[in-house]
Amino acid sequence: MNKLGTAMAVCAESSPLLRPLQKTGRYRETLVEQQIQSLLSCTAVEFRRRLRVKDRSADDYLREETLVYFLRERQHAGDTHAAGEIARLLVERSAGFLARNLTCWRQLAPHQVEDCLRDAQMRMIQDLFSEDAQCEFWEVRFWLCLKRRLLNCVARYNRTADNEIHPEPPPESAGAPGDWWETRLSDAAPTPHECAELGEALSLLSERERQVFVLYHAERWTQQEIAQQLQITDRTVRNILGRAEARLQQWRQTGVP
Amino acid sequence: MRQINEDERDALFAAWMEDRESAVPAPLGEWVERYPDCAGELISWAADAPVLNAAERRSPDAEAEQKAIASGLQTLARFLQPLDSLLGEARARGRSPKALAEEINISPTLLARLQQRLIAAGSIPDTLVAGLSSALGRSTSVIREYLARPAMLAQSASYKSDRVPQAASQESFLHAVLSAPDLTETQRQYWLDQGHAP
Repeated sequence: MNKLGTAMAVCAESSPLLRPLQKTGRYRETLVEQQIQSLLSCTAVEFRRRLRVKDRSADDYLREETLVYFLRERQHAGDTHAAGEIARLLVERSAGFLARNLTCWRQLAPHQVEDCLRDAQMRMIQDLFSEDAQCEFWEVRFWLCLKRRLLNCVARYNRTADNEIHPEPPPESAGAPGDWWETRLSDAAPTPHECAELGEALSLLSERERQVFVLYHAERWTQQEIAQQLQITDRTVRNILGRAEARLQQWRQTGVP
Repeated sequence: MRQINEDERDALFAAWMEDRESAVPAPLGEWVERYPDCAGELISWAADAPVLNAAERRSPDAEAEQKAIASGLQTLARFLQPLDSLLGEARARGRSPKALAEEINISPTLLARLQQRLIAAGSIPDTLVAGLSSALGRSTSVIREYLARPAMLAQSASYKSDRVPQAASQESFLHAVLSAPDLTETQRQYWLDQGHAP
């Protein structure tokens, strides 16, 4: 089975009581199906009790995918109030994740971080309330859908921030392998400190610089391969790489981007 | 080549993340070769991964989380708030009626008829409701609730009559599509195809 197939075929069989997913061959996780099943037959009081469980490790803690299912069920049944309550819970649960994942993009100005947060939340809310089959994956992998929406928003704002950067001329050594970076990028199990350092360093780069830098140093693509894939010239690849390396070098030496 | 849609991109992202966390992840080049339509995204995901990994290891920031909750709840409240006017909401979002009409692929005349609720709500296709929901940042149920209210008079109209003015009677969406003078033929055909299955 290919990789895409593995991610879709999460559970072997769906219960006939549940609203099936619209995409053929895709299933919810077993735990999510079990949770939905149990909630379909429980009382309103029990349902509310389970919504209030906040301990993620508790057996009766409801998974986000389960909540999305019931949000859409309530919305479909015209019970906007209940759907809103579930959405409220999902907003609260996702806030920490969004805040943590946004503050690491050091290239973004504080007002851009706020705008980006609002955009990502709006996108999430729109998708959660959508009956469109294109928003179905939220019921299969909530956190990954949220992460992708967030990355899309960050990319958009990063491009705006990129336009505000005035790059310096690249040094002649552009493209020379940098031991420090290659060691960390290729390390399968970096220490938390190394991981944080690497993430922080790469977040200082523009979107294009980060792409070229990672493709060259982590994925070991040649400059010609990068140029071909990104549809730019070899010389531009060299320039971008040189600029990225110079900025990271400066950051390592002075702590200033 | 068939365009990959948002749902498939989500599935691809899940598969990609799953693979990256495996003991022997496939090289990026293989993914790009298998999904050339998504090459740009795959490259971005690979480039952003170290930043996201670092973010996930950060300790939680209670203050930033509280701010994010407040921002999200505000956005949600607005999303679910009843709607007073389609065009008013569009203007509040910096869009002219013409821009909104273009965004949802209808003509300004048809949009004006939706605004005045001169089209029977039950005949309006789900795709149009979804388009309005997306463009105006409001839930589909809020949009449907607006469209289901009684027809209203044009705000700019003035009347001289002994009788209380009444709004024109509602027509079906299909009829409105057929009679709209400023729909392009492509738009007309698209909505005629959509219109039979609200």
